[in-house]
Amino acid sequence: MKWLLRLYPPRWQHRFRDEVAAHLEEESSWSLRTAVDLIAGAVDAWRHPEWFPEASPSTSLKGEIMKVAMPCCEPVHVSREEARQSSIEMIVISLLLVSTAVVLDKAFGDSIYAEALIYSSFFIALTISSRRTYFKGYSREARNLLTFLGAVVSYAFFLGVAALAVRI
Amino acid sequence: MGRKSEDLEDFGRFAEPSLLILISLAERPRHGYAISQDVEDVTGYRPGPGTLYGAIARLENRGFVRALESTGDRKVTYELTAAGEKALRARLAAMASVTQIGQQRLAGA
Repeated sequence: MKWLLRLYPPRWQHRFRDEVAAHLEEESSWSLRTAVDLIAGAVDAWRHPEWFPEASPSTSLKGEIMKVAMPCCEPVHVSREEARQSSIEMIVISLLLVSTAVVLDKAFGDSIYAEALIYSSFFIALTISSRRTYFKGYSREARNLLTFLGAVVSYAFFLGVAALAVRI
Repeated sequence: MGRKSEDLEDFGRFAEPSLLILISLAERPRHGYAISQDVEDVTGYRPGPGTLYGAIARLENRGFVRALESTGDRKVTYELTAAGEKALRARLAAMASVTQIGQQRLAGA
Protein backbone atom coordinates (compact mmCIF):
# COMPACT_ATOMS: atom_id res chain seq x y z
CA MET A 1 0.00 0.00 0.00
CA LYS A 2 3.07 2.23 -0.20
CA TRP A 3 1.79 3.28 -3.62
CA LEU A 4 -0.62 5.58 -1.78
CA LEU A 5 2.39 7.78 -1.02
CA ARG A 6 2.39 8.71 -4.70
CA LEU A 7 -0.78 10.67 -3.99
CA TYR A 8 1.22 13.19 -1.99
CA PRO A 9 2.64 16.40 -3.50
CA PRO A 10 6.31 16.55 -4.54
CA ARG A 11 7.47 18.67 -1.63
CA TRP A 12 5.90 16.25 0.88
CA GLN A 13 7.45 13.28 -0.91
CA HIS A 14 10.84 14.97 -0.94
CA ARG A 15 10.73 15.36 2.82
CA PHE A 16 8.77 12.36 4.12
CA ARG A 17 8.40 9.65 1.49
CA ASP A 18 11.35 7.44 2.49
CA GLU A 19 10.64 7.93 6.17
CA VAL A 20 6.95 7.04 5.89
CA ALA A 21 7.76 4.09 3.60
CA ALA A 22 10.07 2.75 6.34
CA HIS A 23 7.31 3.38 8.89
CA LEU A 24 4.77 1.47 6.80
CA GLU A 25 7.16 -1.49 6.46
CA GLU A 26 7.16 -1.76 10.25
CA GLU A 27 3.39 -1.80 10.54
CA SER A 28 2.40 -5.40 11.28
CA SER A 29 -0.88 -5.27 9.42
CA TRP A 30 -2.76 -3.16 6.97
CA SER A 31 -6.20 -1.81 7.54
CA LEU A 32 -8.76 0.24 5.71
CA ARG A 33 -8.31 2.83 8.44
CA THR A 34 -4.62 3.22 7.56
CA ALA A 35 -5.43 3.61 3.85
CA VAL A 36 -8.12 6.20 4.55
CA ASP A 37 -5.76 8.04 6.89
CA LEU A 38 -3.06 8.14 4.19
CA ILE A 39 -5.52 9.47 1.62
CA ALA A 40 -6.79 12.11 4.05
CA GLY A 41 -3.16 13.05 4.74
CA ALA A 42 -2.53 13.43 1.01
CA VAL A 43 -5.54 15.70 0.62
CA ASP A 44 -4.29 17.79 3.53
CA ALA A 45 -0.77 17.98 2.07
CA TRP A 46 -2.14 19.28 -1.25
CA ARG A 47 -4.43 21.76 0.51
CA HIS A 48 -1.78 23.07 2.89
CA PRO A 49 1.62 23.05 1.14
CA GLU A 50 2.78 25.86 3.43
CA TRP A 51 3.45 23.35 6.20
CA PHE A 52 5.93 21.37 4.14
CA PRO A 53 9.44 22.52 3.26
CA GLU A 54 10.16 23.26 -0.39
CA ALA A 55 12.14 20.60 -2.21
CA SER A 56 15.75 21.48 -2.87
CA PRO A 57 16.80 21.73 -6.55
CA SER A 58 17.27 18.29 -8.04
CA THR A 59 19.97 17.48 -10.54
CA SER A 60 18.74 14.04 -11.55
CA LEU A 61 16.88 13.44 -14.81
CA LYS A 62 13.86 12.20 -12.86
CA GLY A 63 14.03 15.33 -10.73
CA GLU A 64 14.11 17.55 -13.78
CA ILE A 65 11.13 15.71 -15.30
CA MET A 66 9.22 15.98 -12.02
CA LYS A 67 10.00 19.66 -11.83
CA VAL A 68 8.44 20.17 -15.27
CA ALA A 69 5.53 17.81 -14.75
CA MET A 70 4.34 18.49 -11.22
CA PRO A 71 4.01 22.24 -10.60
CA CYS A 72 0.83 22.35 -12.70
CA CYS A 73 -0.80 20.30 -9.96
CA GLU A 74 0.76 21.99 -6.96
CA PRO A 75 -0.68 25.24 -5.61
CA VAL A 76 1.82 28.05 -6.08
CA HIS A 77 1.42 31.29 -4.21
CA VAL A 78 0.87 34.26 -6.55
CA SER A 79 1.06 37.68 -4.97
CA ARG A 80 -1.41 40.42 -5.82
CA GLU A 81 1.38 42.40 -7.48
CA GLU A 82 2.33 39.44 -9.69
CA ALA A 83 -1.31 38.95 -10.68
CA ARG A 84 -1.57 42.66 -11.53
CA GLN A 85 1.61 42.61 -13.62
CA SER A 86 0.43 39.46 -15.39
CA SER A 87 -2.91 41.08 -16.29
CA ILE A 88 -1.22 44.20 -17.63
CA GLU A 89 1.22 42.08 -19.61
CA MET A 90 -1.61 40.07 -21.13
CA ILE A 91 -3.57 43.15 -22.21
CA VAL A 92 -0.53 44.96 -23.66
CA ILE A 93 0.73 41.90 -25.56
CA SER A 94 -2.77 41.15 -26.90
CA LEU A 95 -3.10 44.73 -28.19
CA LEU A 96 0.38 44.66 -29.73
CA LEU A 97 -0.23 41.35 -31.49
CA VAL A 98 -3.65 42.33 -32.81
CA SER A 99 -2.27 45.68 -34.00
CA THR A 100 0.61 43.92 -35.74
CA ALA A 101 -1.77 41.45 -37.36
CA VAL A 102 -4.04 44.23 -38.61
CA VAL A 103 -1.06 46.06 -40.13
CA LEU A 104 0.17 42.84 -41.77
CA ASP A 105 -3.30 42.10 -43.06
CA LYS A 106 -3.52 45.53 -44.68
CA ALA A 107 0.01 45.35 -46.05
CA PHE A 108 -0.24 41.90 -47.61
CA GLY A 109 -3.93 41.65 -48.40
CA ASP A 110 -6.12 38.90 -46.96
CA SER A 111 -3.48 36.75 -45.36
CA ILE A 112 -4.25 33.63 -43.37
CA TYR A 113 -1.02 34.27 -41.43
CA ALA A 114 -2.26 37.64 -40.22
CA GLU A 115 -5.72 36.23 -39.58
CA ALA A 116 -4.25 33.42 -37.48
CA LEU A 117 -2.24 35.98 -35.52
CA ILE A 118 -5.39 37.95 -34.70
CA TYR A 119 -7.21 34.89 -33.43
CA SER A 120 -4.27 33.49 -31.50
CA SER A 121 -3.13 36.81 -30.00
CA PHE A 122 -5.14 36.36 -26.81
CA PHE A 123 -3.85 32.83 -26.24
CA ILE A 124 -0.25 33.83 -26.98
CA ALA A 125 -0.57 36.75 -24.57
CA LEU A 126 -2.14 34.48 -21.95
CA THR A 127 0.73 32.00 -22.33
CA ILE A 128 3.38 34.70 -21.98
CA SER A 129 1.69 36.37 -19.02
CA SER A 130 1.32 32.98 -17.30
CA ARG A 131 5.05 33.07 -16.58
CA ARG A 132 4.19 35.10 -13.48
CA THR A 133 1.20 32.98 -12.41
CA TYR A 134 0.43 29.45 -13.61
CA PHE A 135 4.02 28.71 -14.65
CA LYS A 136 5.55 30.32 -11.59
CA GLY A 137 6.47 27.02 -9.98
CA TYR A 138 8.56 25.91 -12.95
CA SER A 139 12.26 26.51 -13.50
CA ARG A 140 13.26 29.41 -15.75
CA GLU A 141 14.16 27.05 -18.61
CA ALA A 142 10.86 25.20 -18.29
CA ARG A 143 8.94 28.51 -18.27
CA ASN A 144 10.72 29.60 -21.46
CA LEU A 145 9.97 26.27 -23.13
CA LEU A 146 6.31 26.30 -22.07
CA THR A 147 5.87 29.88 -23.24
CA PHE A 148 7.46 29.15 -26.60
CA LEU A 149 5.48 25.94 -27.12
CA GLY A 150 2.24 27.56 -25.98
CA ALA A 151 2.67 30.43 -28.43
CA VAL A 152 3.66 28.17 -31.32
CA VAL A 153 0.84 25.69 -30.71
CA SER A 154 -1.75 28.49 -30.41
CA TYR A 155 -0.60 30.13 -33.63
CA ALA A 156 -0.30 26.80 -35.49
CA PHE A 157 -3.81 25.81 -34.40
CA PHE A 158 -5.44 28.99 -35.69
CA LEU A 159 -3.30 28.93 -38.84
CA GLY A 160 -4.68 25.46 -39.51
CA VAL A 161 -8.23 26.65 -38.86
CA ALA A 162 -7.73 29.66 -41.15
CA ALA A 163 -6.28 27.44 -43.90
CA LEU A 164 -9.23 25.06 -43.61
CA ALA A 165 -11.70 27.95 -43.67
CA VAL A 166 -10.19 29.22 -46.92
CA ARG A 167 -10.65 25.82 -48.58
CA ILE A 168 -14.26 25.56 -47.39
CA MET B 1 3.87 37.51 7.10
CA GLY B 2 2.39 37.28 10.56
CA ARG B 3 4.21 36.20 13.67
CA LYS B 4 4.32 32.47 14.11
CA SER B 5 1.93 31.20 16.74
CA GLU B 6 3.46 29.72 19.88
CA ASP B 7 0.57 27.30 20.34
CA LEU B 8 -1.12 24.51 18.39
CA GLU B 9 -4.22 26.60 17.86
CA ASP B 10 -4.03 26.73 14.06
CA PHE B 11 -3.18 23.05 13.59
CA GLY B 12 -6.84 22.16 12.99
CA ARG B 13 -7.49 18.42 13.21
CA PHE B 14 -3.77 17.91 13.81
CA ALA B 15 -3.81 19.76 17.14
CA GLU B 16 -4.60 16.75 19.31
CA PRO B 17 -2.19 14.33 17.59
CA SER B 18 0.46 17.08 17.79
CA LEU B 19 -0.06 17.40 21.52
CA LEU B 20 0.33 13.64 21.92
CA ILE B 21 3.53 13.71 19.86
CA LEU B 22 4.95 16.46 22.06
CA ILE B 23 4.09 14.43 25.15
CA SER B 24 5.82 11.39 23.65
CA LEU B 25 8.96 13.37 22.79
CA ALA B 26 9.00 14.97 26.24
CA GLU B 27 10.24 11.63 27.53
CA ARG B 28 12.98 11.11 24.94
CA PRO B 29 13.69 11.51 21.21
CA ARG B 30 11.82 8.99 19.06
CA HIS B 31 11.27 8.21 15.39
CA GLY B 32 7.82 8.21 13.82
CA TYR B 33 6.95 4.57 14.34
CA ALA B 34 8.11 4.68 17.97
CA ILE B 35 6.02 7.81 18.53
CA SER B 36 2.88 6.10 17.22
CA GLN B 37 3.56 3.08 19.44
CA ASP B 38 4.11 5.27 22.48
CA VAL B 39 0.97 7.28 21.81
CA GLU B 40 -1.00 4.03 21.52
CA ASP B 41 0.48 2.74 24.77
CA VAL B 42 -0.48 5.93 26.60
CA THR B 43 -3.87 6.68 25.10
CA GLY B 44 -5.06 3.55 23.30
CA TYR B 45 -5.30 5.60 20.13
CA ARG B 46 -2.80 4.91 17.35
CA PRO B 47 -2.43 7.82 14.92
CA GLY B 48 -2.33 6.72 11.27
CA PRO B 49 0.76 7.63 9.23
CA GLY B 50 -1.07 10.37 7.30
CA THR B 51 -2.08 12.05 10.54
CA LEU B 52 1.23 11.40 12.28
CA TYR B 53 3.44 12.94 9.60
CA GLY B 54 0.99 15.76 8.92
CA ALA B 55 1.31 16.65 12.60
CA ILE B 56 5.10 16.21 12.61
CA ALA B 57 5.38 18.53 9.58
CA ARG B 58 3.42 21.20 11.45
CA LEU B 59 5.43 20.79 14.63
CA GLU B 60 8.69 20.93 12.68
CA ASN B 61 7.53 23.95 10.69
CA ARG B 62 6.64 25.74 13.92
CA GLY B 63 9.99 24.81 15.50
CA PHE B 64 8.43 22.66 18.24
CA VAL B 65 10.32 19.52 17.22
CA ARG B 66 13.62 19.03 15.45
CA ALA B 67 14.70 16.16 13.19
CA LEU B 68 17.99 14.61 14.22
CA GLU B 69 20.38 12.94 11.78
CA SER B 70 18.88 9.97 9.98
CA THR B 71 20.34 6.65 11.13
CA GLY B 72 20.69 5.41 7.56
CA ASP B 73 17.69 3.09 7.78
CA ARG B 74 15.42 5.91 6.50
CA LYS B 75 14.06 6.47 10.01
CA VAL B 76 14.29 10.01 11.29
CA THR B 77 14.43 10.64 15.01
CA TYR B 78 12.73 13.72 16.41
CA GLU B 79 13.42 15.60 19.59
CA LEU B 80 11.51 18.25 21.49
CA THR B 81 12.89 21.80 21.19
CA ALA B 82 12.78 24.50 23.86
CA ALA B 83 9.90 26.15 22.00
CA GLY B 84 8.10 22.80 21.87
CA GLU B 85 8.57 22.28 25.59
CA LYS B 86 7.21 25.75 26.27
CA ALA B 87 4.17 25.15 24.06
CA LEU B 88 3.56 21.76 25.70
CA ARG B 89 3.77 23.23 29.21
CA ALA B 90 1.35 26.01 28.25
CA ARG B 91 -1.13 23.60 26.70
CA LEU B 92 -0.98 21.17 29.63
CA ALA B 93 -1.44 24.01 32.11
CA ALA B 94 -4.52 25.20 30.22
CA MET B 95 -5.90 21.67 30.15
CA ALA B 96 -5.19 21.21 33.87
CA SER B 97 -7.06 24.42 34.61
CA VAL B 98 -10.09 23.32 32.61
CA THR B 99 -9.94 19.86 34.18
CA GLN B 100 -9.87 21.37 37.67
CA ILE B 101 -12.89 23.55 36.94
CA GLY B 102 -14.74 20.57 35.52
CA GLN B 103 -13.95 18.44 38.58
CA GLN B 104 -15.07 21.21 40.94
CA ARG B 105 -18.37 21.62 39.12
CA LEU B 106 -18.96 17.89 39.12
CA ALA B 107 -18.23 17.78 42.86
CA GLY B 108 -20.77 20.55 43.45
CA ALA B 109 -23.42 18.96 41.26
